Amino acid sequence: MTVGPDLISKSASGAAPVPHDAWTEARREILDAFAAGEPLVLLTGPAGIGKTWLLVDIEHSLRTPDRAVLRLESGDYDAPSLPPVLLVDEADRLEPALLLSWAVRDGGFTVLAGLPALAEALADLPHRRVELGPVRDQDIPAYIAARMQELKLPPKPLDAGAAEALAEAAGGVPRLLNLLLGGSLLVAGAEGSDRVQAEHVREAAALRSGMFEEPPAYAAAPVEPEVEPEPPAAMPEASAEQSPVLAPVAVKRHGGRWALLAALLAAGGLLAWWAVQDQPRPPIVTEVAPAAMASAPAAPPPEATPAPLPDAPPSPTAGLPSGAMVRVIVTYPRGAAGAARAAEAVAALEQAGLAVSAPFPVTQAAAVPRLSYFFREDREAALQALGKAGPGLERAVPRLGLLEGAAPRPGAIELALPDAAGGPDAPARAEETTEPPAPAPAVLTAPADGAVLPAEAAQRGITLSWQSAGAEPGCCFVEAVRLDGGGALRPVFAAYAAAAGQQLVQIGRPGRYAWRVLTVSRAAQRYSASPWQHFVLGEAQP
Amino acid sequence: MNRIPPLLVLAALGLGACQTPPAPPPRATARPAGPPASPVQGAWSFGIVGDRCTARVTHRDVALDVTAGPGRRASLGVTAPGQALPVNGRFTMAFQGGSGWQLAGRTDAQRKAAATLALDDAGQGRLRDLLGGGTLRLRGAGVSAPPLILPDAGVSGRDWYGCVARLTENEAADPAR
Repeated sequence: MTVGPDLISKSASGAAPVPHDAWTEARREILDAFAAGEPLVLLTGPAGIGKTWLLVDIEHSLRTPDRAVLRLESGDYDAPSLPPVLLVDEADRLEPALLLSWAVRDGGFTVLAGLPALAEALADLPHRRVELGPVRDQDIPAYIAARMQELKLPPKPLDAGAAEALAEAAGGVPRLLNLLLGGSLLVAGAEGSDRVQAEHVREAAALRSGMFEEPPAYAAAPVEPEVEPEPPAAMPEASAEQSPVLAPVAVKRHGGRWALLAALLAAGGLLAWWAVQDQPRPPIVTEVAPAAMASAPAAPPPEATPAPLPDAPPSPTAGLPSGAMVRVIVTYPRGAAGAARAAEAVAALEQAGLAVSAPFPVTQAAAVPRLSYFFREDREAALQALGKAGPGLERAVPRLGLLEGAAPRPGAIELALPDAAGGPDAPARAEETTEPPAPAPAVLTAPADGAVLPAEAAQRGITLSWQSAGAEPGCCFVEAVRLDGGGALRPVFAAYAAAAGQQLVQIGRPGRYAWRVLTVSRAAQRYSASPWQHFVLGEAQP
Repeated sequence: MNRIPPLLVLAALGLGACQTPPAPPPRATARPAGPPASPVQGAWSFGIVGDRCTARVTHRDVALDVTAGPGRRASLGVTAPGQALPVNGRFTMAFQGGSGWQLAGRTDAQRKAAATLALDDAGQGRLRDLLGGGTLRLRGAGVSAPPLILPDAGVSGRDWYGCVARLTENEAADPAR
């Protein structure tokens, strides 16, 4: 997955997107060098600036079935030959002879990443130097919002002064930003404040400075260590990043840094607990807000994942659901009484955080409340919806509805409110002892993940292509969403594909988009979702 | 220079005199009313494309396209192969299902019939009627497209109606859109 802090800048508050321009510029320069046939690029920048993740992005951008790409996180590689594209992180750790041999090799494209001092070692060789700069001040609020969303943290509003203080203290270095953001949230929580203020940031910065004795700011820190420091073991950066498990720790405001340090360490434990507790949480995914999304019911419970890299930029598709987006459709017997009951049910479901369609009157209502899901993957979501549909619906039993006519989209769940007089019950699919297998997920082929498409494509349309081996005709439900459209997900396309393996999508304006394909089997009443991929239409807006 | 034989000239003139004058251009006339076409049953499909909610009922002899949005308007378009619809004509679209209603519309130069619908309460009700199933007929001079039977759109249609409802909600929340 291509990642980068510039590629998701969605503000939780719905403010206009503000990409991280420096990262985009560096990425573009490297790709330009590759396109121009230049053999050697030096990617330099201070520790924590995001070089590693830029290399990861470049790796994914350049790798094709016909082109091998090797990315080394250090110089540990002793194979006799090198692939056409070689990306070396921490190249300043290489033995000088090895560094030189890789820098002058023939017939390949090499990116050597390291601290700025690396440039001196290779000053005599022809190369392009790309300097990865910090997150600029105007991009800080968007970066913070994206970071919090990436980590699925509960919203914690930051005062304007807090954002400024973060920008000043971190100097735009993502790793420091992540650390200070986590520390600030913890300090605010420890004080019982529901907002992060500038003084919380300063307190966190002072605490970190005291603990690690590192220069806090990129701009104010010209001293460049020879190697990137590893995060201290005493307080993993990820813990600090994710620390807003803001239990009301009893720490006095001026109780001293040791108390805060203890709180930070405690937060690490709390974080681990929170991470474990959080995984099996409601799998229902709604279209209301990306922050509310979680894995689909069909997805296996994810194992506790390792903490993200300290300066890992948020993935553009982070927060998008891995399963279907669940939507509840409420039907009611035509008439004022039925409409009122439907309104109550809709309100209860919405209050529970579910996406609910406008209630729909029907002439022939069911005899009993009925909750139907249409794909086996949605059963758990249906059960959860039932528990939130309000009183009087306890008799409803979730069941697999028959697929008649046009197939509903994956994630559709229908709650049918009964008629007082009682009508015919809709048919359900007979229980089966063995569950048929799900179709294989589609493999998305074009546009490539992270592709930047020309703005003209907005007018002529973009052809999304995929491969779905063995799938039924009409199998494939295509979803495309705008990523930087504000708080809520904005679908720009959602329909079963008209043709096999491709769909033309008209997208009216530049921006960042994500798309995927859900492969549906009508026979098995199952589906599987491909991973999301994203693309940029036109250049990222400054 | 060779001279053309006089006999050949006479023969050519005689043949030319035997030709009938060119036929006048055909007048645009309504096709004679034949026996009413039998209704045909279509199949629904649905989509969301940008700020539009699209639905389609297709049969090889006639198709209905419903496009709701942007804003609080919807269009109903009917296409049929051949000359089943007239060029630049007027027609009435009549639906009979859970309730009955009629819309006036026009066909264009490509024989595509179109009618518009405001997405007010009445308009939304008519879309719900379509989704609930019934028969759609086009009436007018030169119309020979068969009536289209719309099946109940099922949960897919009711889900799609949520897209339509959101259009009106968004418009109400932000009339300047």
